[in-house]
Amino acid sequence: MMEGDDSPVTLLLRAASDGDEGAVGRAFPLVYDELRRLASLVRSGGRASDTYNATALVHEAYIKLVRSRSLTWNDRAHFLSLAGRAMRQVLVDKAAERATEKRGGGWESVTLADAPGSELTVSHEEFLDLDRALTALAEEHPRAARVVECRYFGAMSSEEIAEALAISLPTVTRDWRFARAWLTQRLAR
Amino acid sequence: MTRGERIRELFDRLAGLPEHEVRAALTEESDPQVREAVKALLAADEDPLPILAATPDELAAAVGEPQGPGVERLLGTTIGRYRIESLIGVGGMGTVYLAVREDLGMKVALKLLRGALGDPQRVARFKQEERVLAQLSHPLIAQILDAGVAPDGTPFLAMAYVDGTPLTQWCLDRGLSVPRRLELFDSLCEAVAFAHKNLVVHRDLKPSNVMVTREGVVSLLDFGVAKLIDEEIDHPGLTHTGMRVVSPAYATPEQVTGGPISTATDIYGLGLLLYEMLAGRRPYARDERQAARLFRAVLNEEPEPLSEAMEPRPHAVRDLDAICLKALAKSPSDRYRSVDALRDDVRRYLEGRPVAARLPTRLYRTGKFLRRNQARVAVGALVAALALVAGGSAAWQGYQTRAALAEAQDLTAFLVRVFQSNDPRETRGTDMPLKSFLDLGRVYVEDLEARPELQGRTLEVLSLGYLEIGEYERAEELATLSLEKRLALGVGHEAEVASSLRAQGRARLEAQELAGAETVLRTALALQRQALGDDDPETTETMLVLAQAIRDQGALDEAESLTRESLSRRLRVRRSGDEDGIVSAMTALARVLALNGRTAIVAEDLLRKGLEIRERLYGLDDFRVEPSVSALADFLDASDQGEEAEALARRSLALRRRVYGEEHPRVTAEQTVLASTLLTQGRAEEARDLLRQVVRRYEDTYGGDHLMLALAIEEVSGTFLAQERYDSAEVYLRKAHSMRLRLEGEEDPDVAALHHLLGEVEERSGRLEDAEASLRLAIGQRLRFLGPESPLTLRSQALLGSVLTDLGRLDEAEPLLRETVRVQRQVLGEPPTDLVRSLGSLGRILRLRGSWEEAEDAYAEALLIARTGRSVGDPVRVAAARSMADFYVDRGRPDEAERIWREEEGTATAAREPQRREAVEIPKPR
Repeated sequence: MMEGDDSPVTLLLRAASDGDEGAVGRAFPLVYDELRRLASLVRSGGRASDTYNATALVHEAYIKLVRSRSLTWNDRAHFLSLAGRAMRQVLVDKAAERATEKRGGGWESVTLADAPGSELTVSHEEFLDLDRALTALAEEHPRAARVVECRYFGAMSSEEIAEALAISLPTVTRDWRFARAWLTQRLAR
Repeated sequence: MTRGERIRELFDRLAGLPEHEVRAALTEESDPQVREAVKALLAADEDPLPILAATPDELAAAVGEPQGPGVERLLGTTIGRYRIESLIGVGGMGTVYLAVREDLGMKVALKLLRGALGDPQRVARFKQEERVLAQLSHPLIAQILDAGVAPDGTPFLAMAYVDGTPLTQWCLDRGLSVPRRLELFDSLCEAVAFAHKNLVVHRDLKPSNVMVTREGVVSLLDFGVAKLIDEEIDHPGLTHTGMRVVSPAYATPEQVTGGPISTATDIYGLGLLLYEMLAGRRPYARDERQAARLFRAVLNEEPEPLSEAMEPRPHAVRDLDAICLKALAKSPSDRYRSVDALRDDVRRYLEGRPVAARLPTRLYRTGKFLRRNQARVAVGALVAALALVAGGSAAWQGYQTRAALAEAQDLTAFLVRVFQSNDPRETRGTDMPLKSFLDLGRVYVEDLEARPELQGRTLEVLSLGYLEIGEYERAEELATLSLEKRLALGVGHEAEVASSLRAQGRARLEAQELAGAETVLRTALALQRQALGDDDPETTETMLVLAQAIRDQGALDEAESLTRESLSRRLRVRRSGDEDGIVSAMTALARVLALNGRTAIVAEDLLRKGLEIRERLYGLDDFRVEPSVSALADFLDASDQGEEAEALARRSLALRRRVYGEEHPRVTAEQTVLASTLLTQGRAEEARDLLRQVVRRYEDTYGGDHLMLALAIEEVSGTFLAQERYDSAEVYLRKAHSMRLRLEGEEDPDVAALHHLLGEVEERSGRLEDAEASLRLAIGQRLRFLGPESPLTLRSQALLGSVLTDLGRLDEAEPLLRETVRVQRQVLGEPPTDLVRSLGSLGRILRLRGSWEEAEDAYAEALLIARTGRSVGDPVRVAAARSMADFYVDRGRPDEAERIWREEEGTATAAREPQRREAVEIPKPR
């Protein structure tokens, strides 16, 4: 209806859902760049704010890149799964940067005590280990690894994941449970 | 199965099972590696790593945004004249510090904006924008005091420091009453209205930007700053689009879709704030971390009603609902037109006056009036209430009008029966029994003054009755009376009021006062959606009536979507006994699809199914089958299936005559359809005889200009056209045309049809320039009303192509005809006659150009299509054959021409004479 208004990402998403497999690959750098740009806009971080967090980043990327009424629910799910993958990359890059800085500049590891209801501590190395484990998982169980990516980085609900990956809801649940166990035993080695 | 797959399968099966079952299952596994791997996984499943339980936000916070020296590094430093004291917060726009202006010792909020301004030109623009904002001086707006660019390029703003609490938090903390909250909201509105008058839009209204000081005064932060960031920092050069990085929870529909930002954006923001102030949460009951859902909700879903979100419910909560809904309308144009309008409505609510956001019906004002003047109208209200109660009580019937009442109830029951069946005993007892019965009812109804509910209902039924006997004016008069009676009933009777409005709408629709019908029907529908819900059979019925009014004014897409809504709701909530309602919706959909021209096969299918269902429900000879019969007749006629259409039209006519008698306009209308089916079959004389009767009848009935009369006259001209009597055809056509212009003006799809027909006549009479002009008018209008793929637009284009060919302008004609044929081939449901005709025209132009092979192909395709489904002697078929044969004769291949005619054996010899031209011309009005 308003095809003239559609952004490149919208068009690529549509091409992807029409079966153009290269389209997702072409959309990825666009999403990645936008997420990275958005992430770097917060120049000096403070406590978790009401507008800046991973979910907001994905939302903002969506607003900026997609901007279309004509996208279907299914297209949105695809966008989110793409954004999850891009978000993972953004975070990996950041963590790598930070880890380098840390070795040089003696930064502390990060406490998540500010995040509500969480006492979690993650070091950048830990995060990078997790990323590597996820890559290994993808080699043996690619679908389960995609589920992790969507859920963990894309802030997607199980329903959205099911839609994006064209699998059933119970499969999403099973994949997540399996991936969690798999990653745990891998990282515990 | 690979080892990995086996492991996965076992894990899925065993995860979560009790330990002894796991052990038992594992001992059965022969592969020790699998066994160990599964064991390890199951152990891990019991105790996953904590990092895997992190939410994405925690993860991002941990990885991307460390607590580092970044924030603190500025503390104690000086930027411009400001010494930074402490961090206030970090937001999407940047970081805010509490700072002191050293020379004045004044506390300010210093906002370091994200991004950098390198270019001096952009710095200049930034400062210029800032000056505009700095002039925004209002006690409730935190003023911007200063702006600058730090040495590293970071733009900053200094604004008045407000030590306060976010508005929504303030309301919660203090447990403010609804009126107190609304007063706070009012002062917030005042500030926003002030800014709007100074041409500044906030764009980012949300609780953290609306503070309340300890003294309880509202203060608005960051006015216009969002625009500064969007346009000067993030996206220099981009203006007026909603590309800003918003907090998802406060995104407006135009921000999600990238639409233009305007004051309406702030109205939406105010709506969000109002909702949150009242309900304590945001309007979409969604997990706001799921981006897609939240945006979908923002774009498509209605906010959850306050009546459900507020506990306890305040008085007249539906008024508050209406106010929020109007402010939160998806389309900016549906919101309040200004902040002042919103403020007014809030004040009206506070004062107990009717709010504008609710439908401005008299009913509503009445209800409100009663409440506001409770003391003074107490006596009157008591009487009214008594009357309402008594409406259902038997005791009341002992009152003096009992006899009249009983008869009126009988009347209602009688009318309902009459229109549901065709039992002659009920309709044919005396001459025009229905009319006398109705006239009698009109007298009785006056005796019902004391029972306004029954009176309102009876009046509505009488109105429908008069509609049935074709007395539209009387029908409307009674519907209006019914409406007045019901409006006086007060609040709680929205459904009845809507019902009266619909009766009014039906009357206007039948009288072809389409715009007037649309207005009342829209109101009726809105009332019913509110009072009865979207799925109620009454609501979906009104959708259909409204869709018809819209459809007949040419807005086919809207009509189609409304009809679809009605049908899908009816299908969804179907209950036994609803089949007829479903068929009505199917029929309506088929008609609008047919008019929209693209899905003829679907339309025909819907109509045939509908007829089948009704025949099964009621039997072949029941009047309730008639609507499906006539709809199918109409449709088949328009798609050149004249023979079957004729049979159906005759069947419909018989049913209508039996119920309505000879003189009813609906009988006359069906005679017009019958005439058209005759014409479609080439029986022009018969058609004309019938149409002359029709015209006479209409002239008697209407006495002057009338749409139905114009249509009949137009059909008469069609009969002349079919016989190639162009002069007579043109006379009637011009008569119809000028009547239509008087009735509807130039901009009307049917007037476009008349332009087309005139073009056709002019072309036949050899007045090619006139024809070109008429056709171009028709094409222009049809493109506007129907679009480029409509069969009607294509028909006009094909004819213009032929006219241009005659004028020798082959270079213009050829591309036009090629394109027309191309689209016609694609468009599903294109009446084949048109394609035959276009192909004929295309063949002719190719022949003139000497492209013999292509021309032969075009003629052959035309003939092939013409022969499909048409018997020998059919005019379309004969014309296509003649074109093909002509071509062969011309090319010196008489044997092949002879073969063509052999295949058309039985065609009169005269018809074989070569024509002036090859174009197949089958006049087909509208």
